[in-house]
Amino acid sequence: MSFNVELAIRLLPDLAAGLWTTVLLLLPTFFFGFLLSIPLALAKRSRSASMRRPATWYVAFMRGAPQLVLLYFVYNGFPYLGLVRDTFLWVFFKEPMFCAIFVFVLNHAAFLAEIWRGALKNVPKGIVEAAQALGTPTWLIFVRIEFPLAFRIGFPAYRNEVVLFLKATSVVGAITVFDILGFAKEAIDLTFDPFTPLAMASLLYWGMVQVVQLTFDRIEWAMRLDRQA
Amino acid sequence: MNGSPVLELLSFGSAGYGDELLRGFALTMSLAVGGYALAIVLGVLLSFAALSRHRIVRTFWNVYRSVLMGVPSLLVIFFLFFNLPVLMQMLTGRFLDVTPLTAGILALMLVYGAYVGETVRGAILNIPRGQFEAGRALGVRTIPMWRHIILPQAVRLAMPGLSNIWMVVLKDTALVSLVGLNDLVRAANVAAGSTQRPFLFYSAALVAFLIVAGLSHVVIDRLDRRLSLKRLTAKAA
Repeated sequence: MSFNVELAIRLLPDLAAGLWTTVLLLLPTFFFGFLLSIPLALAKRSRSASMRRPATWYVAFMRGAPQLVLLYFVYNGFPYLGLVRDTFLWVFFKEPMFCAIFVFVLNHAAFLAEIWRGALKNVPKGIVEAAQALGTPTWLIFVRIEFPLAFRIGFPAYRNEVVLFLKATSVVGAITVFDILGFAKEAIDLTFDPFTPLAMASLLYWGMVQVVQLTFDRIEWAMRLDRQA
Repeated sequence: MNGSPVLELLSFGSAGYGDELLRGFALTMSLAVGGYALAIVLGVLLSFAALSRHRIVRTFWNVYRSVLMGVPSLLVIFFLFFNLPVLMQMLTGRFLDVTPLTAGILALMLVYGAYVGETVRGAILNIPRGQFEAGRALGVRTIPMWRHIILPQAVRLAMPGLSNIWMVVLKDTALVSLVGLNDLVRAANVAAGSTQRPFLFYSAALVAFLIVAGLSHVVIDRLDRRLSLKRLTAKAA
Protein backbone atom coordinates (compact mmCIF):
# COMPACT_ATOMS: atom_id res chain seq x y z
CA MET A 1 0.00 0.00 0.00
CA SER A 2 2.08 2.85 -1.26
CA PHE A 3 1.74 5.68 -3.69
CA ASN A 4 3.08 4.78 -7.11
CA VAL A 5 4.04 8.02 -8.80
CA GLU A 6 4.63 6.45 -12.19
CA LEU A 7 1.20 4.84 -12.17
CA ALA A 8 -0.33 8.10 -10.99
CA ILE A 9 1.08 9.89 -14.02
CA ARG A 10 -0.11 7.17 -16.37
CA LEU A 11 -3.58 7.47 -14.88
CA LEU A 12 -3.87 11.19 -15.49
CA PRO A 13 -5.55 11.06 -18.94
CA ASP A 14 -8.16 8.57 -17.75
CA LEU A 15 -8.87 10.54 -14.61
CA ALA A 16 -9.17 13.72 -16.65
CA ALA A 17 -11.78 11.97 -18.79
CA GLY A 18 -13.55 10.90 -15.60
CA LEU A 19 -13.40 14.43 -14.28
CA TRP A 20 -14.98 15.67 -17.49
CA THR A 21 -17.82 13.14 -17.10
CA THR A 22 -18.39 14.27 -13.53
CA VAL A 23 -18.51 17.91 -14.62
CA LEU A 24 -20.89 17.07 -17.49
CA LEU A 25 -23.16 15.38 -14.95
CA LEU A 26 -23.02 18.22 -12.49
CA LEU A 27 -23.61 21.27 -14.66
CA PRO A 28 -27.10 20.27 -15.90
CA THR A 29 -27.93 18.91 -12.43
CA PHE A 30 -27.15 22.20 -10.74
CA PHE A 31 -28.74 24.33 -13.47
CA PHE A 32 -31.99 22.48 -14.10
CA GLY A 33 -32.27 21.32 -10.51
CA PHE A 34 -32.22 24.93 -9.38
CA LEU A 35 -34.75 26.02 -12.02
CA LEU A 36 -37.13 23.20 -11.16
CA SER A 37 -36.81 23.70 -7.41
CA ILE A 38 -38.41 27.15 -7.39
CA PRO A 39 -41.82 26.19 -8.83
CA LEU A 40 -41.68 23.12 -6.59
CA ALA A 41 -41.13 25.26 -3.50
CA LEU A 42 -43.97 27.54 -4.60
CA ALA A 43 -46.26 24.54 -5.08
CA LYS A 44 -45.31 23.28 -1.62
CA ARG A 45 -46.39 26.51 0.02
CA SER A 46 -49.40 27.00 -2.23
CA ARG A 47 -52.76 27.52 -0.59
CA SER A 48 -54.49 25.07 -2.90
CA ALA A 49 -54.18 21.49 -1.75
CA SER A 50 -54.16 20.14 -5.30
CA MET A 51 -50.85 21.95 -5.83
CA ARG A 52 -49.43 21.41 -2.38
CA ARG A 53 -50.14 17.73 -1.96
CA PRO A 54 -48.39 16.34 -5.05
CA ALA A 55 -45.40 18.60 -4.45
CA THR A 56 -45.15 17.49 -0.83
CA TRP A 57 -45.36 13.81 -1.79
CA TYR A 58 -42.83 14.28 -4.55
CA VAL A 59 -40.32 15.95 -2.27
CA ALA A 60 -40.80 13.37 0.48
CA PHE A 61 -40.33 10.53 -2.03
CA MET A 62 -37.21 12.00 -3.59
CA ARG A 63 -35.61 12.84 -0.26
CA GLY A 64 -36.22 9.39 1.19
CA ALA A 65 -35.07 7.28 -1.76
CA PRO A 66 -31.40 6.30 -2.24
CA GLN A 67 -30.07 7.74 -5.48
CA LEU A 68 -28.65 4.37 -6.45
CA VAL A 69 -32.10 2.79 -6.44
CA LEU A 70 -33.52 5.68 -8.44
CA LEU A 71 -30.73 5.23 -10.98
CA TYR A 72 -31.47 1.50 -11.29
CA PHE A 73 -35.16 2.27 -11.50
CA VAL A 74 -34.71 4.57 -14.49
CA TYR A 75 -31.80 2.87 -16.25
CA ASN A 76 -32.89 -0.76 -15.80
CA GLY A 77 -36.62 -0.15 -15.50
CA PHE A 78 -37.59 2.43 -18.10
CA PRO A 79 -36.65 0.25 -21.11
CA TYR A 80 -39.57 -2.00 -20.07
CA LEU A 81 -42.03 0.85 -20.50
CA GLY A 82 -43.68 0.93 -23.92
CA LEU A 83 -43.98 4.67 -23.62
CA VAL A 84 -40.19 4.95 -23.42
CA ARG A 85 -39.07 2.00 -25.53
CA ASP A 86 -41.31 2.69 -28.55
CA THR A 87 -41.21 6.46 -28.75
CA PHE A 88 -38.62 9.18 -29.34
CA LEU A 89 -37.89 9.06 -25.59
CA TRP A 90 -35.82 5.97 -26.23
CA VAL A 91 -33.18 8.10 -27.95
CA PHE A 92 -32.52 9.71 -24.57
CA PHE A 93 -33.18 6.98 -22.05
CA LYS A 94 -30.98 4.43 -23.77
CA GLU A 95 -28.03 6.63 -22.77
CA PRO A 96 -26.89 5.91 -19.21
CA MET A 97 -25.53 9.46 -19.00
CA PHE A 98 -28.96 10.90 -19.77
CA CYS A 99 -30.58 8.61 -17.17
CA ALA A 100 -28.08 9.78 -14.58
CA ILE A 101 -28.69 13.47 -15.32
CA PHE A 102 -32.44 12.86 -15.35
CA VAL A 103 -32.35 11.27 -11.89
CA PHE A 104 -29.98 13.82 -10.38
CA VAL A 105 -31.95 16.83 -11.67
CA LEU A 106 -35.23 15.48 -10.25
CA ASN A 107 -33.52 14.56 -6.98
CA HIS A 108 -31.59 17.80 -6.58
CA ALA A 109 -34.71 19.87 -7.25
CA ALA A 110 -36.56 18.13 -4.42
CA PHE A 111 -33.79 18.82 -1.90
CA LEU A 112 -33.53 22.46 -2.99
CA ALA A 113 -37.31 22.95 -2.93
CA GLU A 114 -37.31 21.98 0.73
CA ILE A 115 -34.57 24.54 1.42
CA TRP A 116 -36.39 27.37 -0.39
CA ARG A 117 -39.66 26.50 1.29
CA GLY A 118 -38.11 26.83 4.72
CA ALA A 119 -36.26 29.99 3.72
CA LEU A 120 -39.36 31.64 2.21
CA LYS A 121 -41.18 31.04 5.49
CA ASN A 122 -38.49 33.03 7.26
CA VAL A 123 -38.66 36.10 5.03
CA PRO A 124 -40.08 38.86 7.24
CA LYS A 125 -43.79 39.30 6.47
CA GLY A 126 -43.64 43.07 6.85
CA ILE A 127 -41.40 43.46 3.81
CA VAL A 128 -43.83 41.57 1.59
CA GLU A 129 -46.78 43.48 3.01
CA ALA A 130 -45.04 46.79 2.45
CA ALA A 131 -44.49 45.86 -1.20
CA GLN A 132 -48.13 44.82 -1.52
CA ALA A 133 -49.22 48.11 -0.02
CA LEU A 134 -47.21 49.89 -2.67
CA GLY A 135 -49.16 48.00 -5.31
CA THR A 136 -46.27 45.82 -6.52
CA PRO A 137 -47.54 42.86 -8.58
CA THR A 138 -47.23 39.51 -6.80
CA TRP A 139 -44.76 38.02 -9.29
CA LEU A 140 -42.53 41.06 -9.06
CA ILE A 141 -42.56 40.87 -5.26
CA PHE A 142 -41.43 37.27 -5.55
CA VAL A 143 -38.72 37.90 -8.13
CA ARG A 144 -37.28 41.07 -6.66
CA ILE A 145 -37.94 40.80 -2.93
CA GLU A 146 -39.04 37.45 -1.57
CA PHE A 147 -36.79 35.08 -3.46
CA PRO A 148 -33.58 37.13 -3.20
CA LEU A 149 -34.07 37.29 0.57
CA ALA A 150 -34.97 33.61 0.80
CA PHE A 151 -31.90 32.78 -1.26
CA ARG A 152 -29.71 34.51 1.30
CA ILE A 153 -31.42 32.72 4.18
CA GLY A 154 -31.15 29.33 2.48
CA PHE A 155 -27.65 29.92 1.16
CA PRO A 156 -25.67 27.84 3.71
CA ALA A 157 -28.03 24.90 3.24
CA TYR A 158 -27.83 25.34 -0.55
CA ARG A 159 -24.06 25.21 -0.40
CA ASN A 160 -24.19 21.95 1.58
CA GLU A 161 -26.58 20.44 -0.91
CA VAL A 162 -24.33 21.31 -3.85
CA VAL A 163 -21.33 19.66 -2.17
CA LEU A 164 -23.43 16.59 -1.33
CA PHE A 165 -24.55 16.22 -4.94
CA LEU A 166 -21.04 16.65 -6.21
CA LYS A 167 -20.03 13.65 -4.13
CA ALA A 168 -23.25 11.75 -4.82
CA THR A 169 -22.53 11.61 -8.56
CA SER A 170 -19.86 9.00 -7.78
CA VAL A 171 -22.53 6.24 -7.83
CA VAL A 172 -23.08 6.52 -11.59
CA GLY A 173 -20.53 3.75 -12.13
CA ALA A 174 -23.38 1.40 -11.20
CA ILE A 175 -25.15 2.26 -14.46
CA THR A 176 -21.95 2.09 -16.58
CA VAL A 177 -21.12 5.78 -16.66
CA PHE A 178 -17.37 6.22 -16.23
CA ASP A 179 -16.75 9.17 -13.93
CA ILE A 180 -13.69 9.83 -11.74
CA LEU A 181 -14.41 6.93 -9.42
CA GLY A 182 -15.34 4.68 -12.33
CA PHE A 183 -11.94 5.11 -13.94
CA ALA A 184 -10.19 4.69 -10.60
CA LYS A 185 -12.06 1.43 -10.00
CA GLU A 186 -11.11 0.19 -13.46
CA ALA A 187 -7.47 1.06 -12.79
CA ILE A 188 -7.56 -1.04 -9.61
CA ASP A 189 -8.92 -4.01 -11.53
CA LEU A 190 -6.22 -3.66 -14.20
CA THR A 191 -3.16 -2.83 -12.11
CA PHE A 192 -3.96 -4.57 -8.79
CA ASP A 193 -2.75 -1.41 -7.07
CA PRO A 194 -5.59 -0.63 -4.63
CA PHE A 195 -4.06 2.57 -3.32
CA THR A 196 -2.78 4.90 -6.03
CA PRO A 197 -5.94 5.18 -8.19
CA LEU A 198 -8.16 5.85 -5.19
CA ALA A 199 -5.69 8.35 -3.74
CA MET A 200 -5.73 10.21 -7.05
CA ALA A 201 -9.53 10.09 -7.21
CA SER A 202 -9.76 11.39 -3.62
CA LEU A 203 -7.51 14.26 -4.54
CA LEU A 204 -9.71 15.18 -7.51
CA TYR A 205 -12.96 15.05 -5.53
CA TRP A 206 -11.40 16.94 -2.66
CA GLY A 207 -10.13 19.59 -5.06
CA MET A 208 -13.56 19.94 -6.67
CA VAL A 209 -15.19 20.35 -3.27
CA GLN A 210 -12.66 23.08 -2.40
CA VAL A 211 -13.42 24.87 -5.69
CA VAL A 212 -17.14 24.77 -4.90
CA GLN A 213 -16.52 26.08 -1.38
CA LEU A 214 -14.39 28.95 -2.66
CA THR A 215 -17.02 29.81 -5.28
CA PHE A 216 -19.70 29.92 -2.64
CA ASP A 217 -17.51 32.00 -0.33
CA ARG A 218 -17.15 34.44 -3.21
CA ILE A 219 -20.92 34.54 -3.87
CA GLU A 220 -21.60 35.01 -0.18
CA TRP A 221 -19.22 37.92 -0.11
CA ALA A 222 -20.81 39.47 -3.19
CA MET A 223 -24.29 39.17 -1.65
CA ARG A 224 -23.44 40.81 1.66
CA LEU A 225 -26.12 43.34 2.41
CA ASP A 226 -23.73 45.89 3.91
CA ARG A 227 -21.79 45.96 0.63
CA GLN A 228 -24.84 46.96 -1.35
CA ALA A 229 -25.90 49.85 0.82
CA MET B 1 -43.06 -9.28 -19.61
CA ASN B 2 -45.77 -11.80 -18.68
CA GLY B 3 -43.92 -13.26 -15.71
CA SER B 4 -45.39 -14.85 -12.66
CA PRO B 5 -47.96 -12.97 -10.63
CA VAL B 6 -46.70 -10.38 -8.22
CA LEU B 7 -47.57 -12.27 -5.08
CA GLU B 8 -45.66 -15.32 -6.18
CA LEU B 9 -42.57 -13.25 -7.00
CA LEU B 10 -42.59 -11.65 -3.57
CA SER B 11 -43.37 -14.89 -1.77
CA PHE B 12 -40.94 -16.78 0.42
CA GLY B 13 -39.23 -19.98 -0.62
CA SER B 14 -37.71 -21.04 -3.90
CA ALA B 15 -40.41 -19.56 -6.12
CA GLY B 16 -40.24 -16.00 -4.87
CA TYR B 17 -37.71 -13.46 -3.74
CA GLY B 18 -39.41 -12.55 -0.47
CA ASP B 19 -36.82 -14.20 1.76
CA GLU B 20 -33.89 -12.71 -0.17
CA LEU B 21 -35.41 -9.26 0.07
CA LEU B 22 -36.14 -9.66 3.76
CA ARG B 23 -32.61 -10.84 4.48
CA GLY B 24 -31.28 -7.92 2.46
CA PHE B 25 -33.48 -5.56 4.43
CA ALA B 26 -32.19 -6.96 7.73
CA LEU B 27 -28.64 -6.41 6.52
CA THR B 28 -29.41 -2.87 5.37
CA MET B 29 -30.87 -2.06 8.76
CA SER B 30 -27.98 -3.55 10.72
CA LEU B 31 -25.56 -1.60 8.53
CA ALA B 32 -27.47 1.61 9.09
CA VAL B 33 -27.91 1.15 12.83
CA GLY B 34 -24.37 -0.15 13.37
CA GLY B 35 -22.75 2.52 11.21
CA TYR B 36 -24.79 5.28 12.81
CA ALA B 37 -24.11 4.15 16.39
CA LEU B 38 -20.36 3.96 15.72
CA ALA B 39 -20.46 7.33 13.95
CA ILE B 40 -22.05 8.90 17.03
CA VAL B 41 -19.34 7.51 19.29
CA LEU B 42 -16.55 8.60 16.94
CA GLY B 43 -18.24 11.94 16.32
CA VAL B 44 -18.48 12.81 20.01
CA LEU B 45 -14.78 11.99 20.44
CA LEU B 46 -13.97 14.07 17.36
CA SER B 47 -15.97 17.02 18.68
CA PHE B 48 -13.76 16.98 21.77
CA ALA B 49 -10.76 17.00 19.45
CA ALA B 50 -12.27 19.94 17.59
CA LEU B 51 -12.60 21.90 20.83
CA SER B 52 -9.28 20.82 22.24
CA ARG B 53 -6.86 23.30 23.75
CA HIS B 54 -3.99 21.72 21.87
CA ARG B 55 -3.36 23.06 18.45
CA ILE B 56 -2.08 19.75 17.12
CA VAL B 57 -5.30 17.95 18.08
CA ARG B 58 -7.36 20.67 16.41
CA THR B 59 -5.22 20.39 13.29
CA PHE B 60 -5.88 16.66 13.22
CA TRP B 61 -9.61 17.37 13.38
CA ASN B 62 -9.43 19.95 10.60
CA VAL B 63 -7.59 17.59 8.28
CA TYR B 64 -9.89 14.70 9.15
CA ARG B 65 -13.01 16.75 8.52
CA SER B 66 -11.73 18.24 5.31
CA VAL B 67 -10.77 14.85 3.85
CA LEU B 68 -13.77 12.80 4.98
CA MET B 69 -16.25 15.51 4.01
CA GLY B 70 -14.41 16.20 0.78
CA VAL B 71 -14.57 12.75 -0.80
CA PRO B 72 -17.63 10.64 -1.69
CA SER B 73 -18.60 7.97 0.83
CA LEU B 74 -18.53 5.41 -1.99
CA LEU B 75 -14.85 6.21 -2.44
CA VAL B 76 -14.25 5.60 1.25
CA ILE B 77 -16.07 2.28 1.00
CA PHE B 78 -13.93 1.24 -1.98
CA PHE B 79 -10.82 2.45 -0.21
CA LEU B 80 -11.42 0.38 2.90
CA PHE B 81 -12.62 -2.62 0.95
CA PHE B 82 -9.47 -2.75 -1.18
CA ASN B 83 -6.88 -1.43 1.27
CA LEU B 84 -7.85 -2.73 4.71
CA PRO B 85 -6.57 -6.28 4.06
CA VAL B 86 -3.18 -4.89 2.98
CA LEU B 87 -3.10 -2.46 5.87
CA MET B 88 -3.99 -5.14 8.39
CA GLN B 89 -1.29 -7.38 6.98
CA MET B 90 1.24 -4.61 7.34
CA LEU B 91 0.19 -3.99 10.93
CA THR B 92 -0.32 -7.50 12.24
CA GLY B 93 1.68 -9.59 9.79
CA ARG B 94 -1.28 -11.86 9.19
CA PHE B 95 -3.74 -11.91 6.34
CA LEU B 96 -7.17 -10.79 7.41
CA ASP B 97 -10.12 -11.06 5.11
CA VAL B 98 -12.12 -7.85 5.18
CA THR B 99 -15.73 -8.58 4.47
CA PRO B 100 -17.80 -6.02 2.58
CA LEU B 101 -19.85 -5.68 5.77
CA THR B 102 -16.81 -4.56 7.80
CA ALA B 103 -15.72 -2.18 5.09
CA GLY B 104 -19.25 -0.78 4.85
CA ILE B 105 -19.79 -0.23 8.57
CA LEU B 106 -16.30 1.24 9.04
CA ALA B 107 -16.78 3.56 6.07
CA LEU B 108 -20.12 4.82 7.40
CA MET B 109 -18.52 5.32 10.80
CA LEU B 110 -15.54 7.28 9.46
CA VAL B 111 -17.53 9.48 7.07
CA TYR B 112 -20.50 10.24 9.28
CA GLY B 113 -18.30 10.50 12.35
CA ALA B 114 -17.00 13.67 10.73
CA TYR B 115 -20.54 15.01 10.24
CA VAL B 116 -21.54 14.06 13.80
CA GLY B 117 -18.34 15.70 15.08
CA GLU B 118 -19.20 18.90 13.26
CA THR B 119 -22.78 18.87 14.59
CA VAL B 120 -21.83 18.15 18.20
CA ARG B 121 -19.04 20.71 18.06
CA GLY B 122 -21.56 23.34 16.92
CA ALA B 123 -23.99 22.30 19.66
CA ILE B 124 -21.37 22.61 22.40
CA LEU B 125 -20.23 25.97 21.08
CA ASN B 126 -23.82 27.21 21.18
CA ILE B 127 -24.18 26.55 24.89
CA PRO B 128 -23.88 29.92 26.60
CA ARG B 129 -20.50 30.37 28.31
CA GLY B 130 -22.34 31.30 31.48
CA GLN B 131 -23.37 27.67 31.90
CA PHE B 132 -19.73 26.63 32.24
CA GLU B 133 -18.93 29.57 34.49
CA ALA B 134 -21.94 29.01 36.74
CA GLY B 135 -21.01 25.37 37.05
CA ARG B 136 -17.47 26.24 37.97
CA ALA B 137 -18.60 28.90 40.43
CA LEU B 138 -20.75 26.28 42.17
CA GLY B 139 -17.71 24.04 42.42
CA VAL B 140 -18.98 21.37 40.00
CA ARG B 141 -16.09 19.25 38.78
CA THR B 142 -15.30 18.74 35.11
CA ILE B 143 -16.87 15.33 34.59
CA PRO B 144 -20.15 15.93 36.47
CA MET B 145 -20.36 19.30 34.76
CA TRP B 146 -20.22 17.70 31.30
CA ARG B 147 -22.55 14.90 32.31
CA HIS B 148 -25.23 16.94 34.03
CA ILE B 149 -24.95 20.44 32.59
CA ILE B 150 -23.28 20.58 29.20
CA LEU B 151 -24.13 17.34 27.40
CA PRO B 152 -27.89 17.34 28.17
CA GLN B 153 -28.10 20.79 26.60
CA ALA B 154 -25.81 19.81 23.74
CA VAL B 155 -28.02 16.83 22.91
CA ARG B 156 -31.01 19.11 22.47
CA LEU B 157 -29.09 21.48 20.24
CA ALA B 158 -27.59 18.66 18.20
CA MET B 159 -30.85 16.76 17.70
CA PRO B 160 -31.92 18.26 14.34
CA GLY B 161 -28.45 17.73 12.87
CA LEU B 162 -28.18 14.19 14.21
CA SER B 163 -31.62 13.25 12.82
CA ASN B 164 -30.59 14.52 9.40
CA ILE B 165 -27.45 12.43 9.55
CA TRP B 166 -29.47 9.33 10.37
CA MET B 167 -31.58 9.85 7.25
CA VAL B 168 -28.48 10.20 5.10
CA VAL B 169 -26.78 7.15 6.63
CA LEU B 170 -29.89 5.08 5.97
CA LYS B 171 -29.78 5.95 2.27
CA ASP B 172 -26.01 5.60 2.02
CA THR B 173 -26.16 1.94 3.04
CA ALA B 174 -27.30 1.35 -0.55
CA LEU B 175 -23.75 2.07 -1.71
CA VAL B 176 -22.43 -1.03 0.01
CA SER B 177 -24.23 -3.16 -2.58
CA LEU B 178 -21.55 -1.95 -5.03
CA VAL B 179 -18.82 -3.91 -3.21
CA GLY B 180 -20.93 -7.03 -3.34
CA LEU B 181 -22.78 -6.97 -0.03
CA ASN B 182 -26.20 -8.61 -0.26
CA ASP B 183 -28.17 -5.72 1.13
CA LEU B 184 -31.71 -4.80 0.16
CA VAL B 185 -30.64 -2.89 -2.94
CA ARG B 186 -28.53 -5.72 -4.29
CA ALA B 187 -31.23 -8.27 -3.53
CA ALA B 188 -33.72 -6.12 -5.43
CA ASN B 189 -31.26 -5.67 -8.29
CA VAL B 190 -30.60 -9.40 -8.60
CA ALA B 191 -34.31 -10.19 -8.48
CA ALA B 192 -35.08 -7.47 -11.03
CA GLY B 193 -32.46 -8.83 -13.38
CA SER B 194 -33.46 -12.48 -13.21
CA THR B 195 -37.23 -11.99 -13.35
CA GLN B 196 -37.31 -9.11 -15.84
CA ARG B 197 -39.63 -7.28 -13.45
CA PRO B 198 -37.53 -4.24 -12.51
CA PHE B 199 -40.39 -2.00 -11.44
CA LEU B 200 -41.77 -4.48 -8.98
CA PHE B 201 -38.51 -5.09 -7.16
CA TYR B 202 -37.06 -1.59 -7.23
CA SER B 203 -40.41 -0.29 -6.00
CA ALA B 204 -40.33 -2.81 -3.19
CA ALA B 205 -36.88 -1.57 -2.16
CA LEU B 206 -37.97 2.08 -2.43
CA VAL B 207 -41.08 1.42 -0.36
CA ALA B 208 -38.98 -0.24 2.34
CA PHE B 209 -36.65 2.78 2.48
CA LEU B 210 -39.54 5.22 2.53
CA ILE B 211 -41.32 3.32 5.31
CA VAL B 212 -38.20 3.33 7.48
CA ALA B 213 -37.68 7.02 6.72
CA GLY B 214 -41.32 7.75 7.60
CA LEU B 215 -41.13 5.79 10.86
CA SER B 216 -37.89 7.57 11.71
CA HIS B 217 -39.64 10.90 11.25
CA VAL B 218 -42.33 9.86 13.71
CA VAL B 219 -39.73 8.80 16.28
CA ILE B 220 -37.69 11.97 15.75
CA ASP B 221 -40.76 14.18 16.21
CA ARG B 222 -41.52 12.37 19.47
CA LEU B 223 -37.96 12.81 20.70
CA ASP B 224 -38.03 16.45 19.67
CA ARG B 225 -41.15 17.05 21.69
CA ARG B 226 -39.71 15.17 24.63
CA LEU B 227 -36.56 17.22 24.60
CA SER B 228 -38.28 20.53 23.97
CA LEU B 229 -37.66 23.23 26.52
CA LYS B 230 -41.34 24.03 26.79
CA ARG B 231 -42.15 20.58 28.08
CA LEU B 232 -39.18 20.48 30.44
CA THR B 233 -39.96 23.82 32.01
CA ALA B 234 -43.65 22.87 32.29
CA LYS B 235 -42.63 19.76 34.19
CA ALA B 236 -40.36 21.71 36.50
CA ALA B 237 -43.07 24.25 37.30
